[in-house]
Amino acid sequence: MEELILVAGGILMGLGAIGSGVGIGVLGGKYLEGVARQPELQPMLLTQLFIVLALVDAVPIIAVGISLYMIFAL
Amino acid sequence: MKAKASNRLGNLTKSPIFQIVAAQFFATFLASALCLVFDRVAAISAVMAGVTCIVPGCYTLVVSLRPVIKGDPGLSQALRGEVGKFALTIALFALVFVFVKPLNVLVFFGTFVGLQLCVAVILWYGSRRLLKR
Repeated sequence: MEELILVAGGILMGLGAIGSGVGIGVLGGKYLEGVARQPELQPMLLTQLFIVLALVDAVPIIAVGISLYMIFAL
Repeated sequence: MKAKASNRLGNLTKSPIFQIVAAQFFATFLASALCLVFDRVAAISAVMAGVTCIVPGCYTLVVSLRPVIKGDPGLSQALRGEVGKFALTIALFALVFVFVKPLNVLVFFGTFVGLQLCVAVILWYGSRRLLKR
């Protein structure tokens, strides 16, 4: 049973990482595109990037939290 | 010197990331006060969720306020902030699960998800304000 919990935690972390990896990649590419087109908007775009990165990161962080709970506390 | 410090403080309070962290702080206070009515362990769990969410948020805030070098798009700064936030969150999660006992897991994760949703609420509120202009 303990091995299965470890495997489940690993799958949870991995799937969350895949989703956020794709999201952050797309976001970074769009940010660079925006800065290349309008460099004068760079400070505003950077702040917006930080906020949306936090939003993209929320789901894998929750997934990692749940998997850490499964690994440490179950 | 004083003018520089007050300018920095002005930049800090104007930042939307500061608004998010402040909203999360307020939400933590509300959640823990609500839980304290029913159960002390639940209130502690809500506070722990708040700490796990707010401390990495403060780190991101500090990194985002660093001045950007001219010609640098600032992507490395954003990634440094995010990686630091992620690492801090994982470390705090591990610390909470190892050292805080007893812990009401349902309240802990419920508060944590609610605090993460504060970002979406602030974004929605900001876009609505922009549309009204």
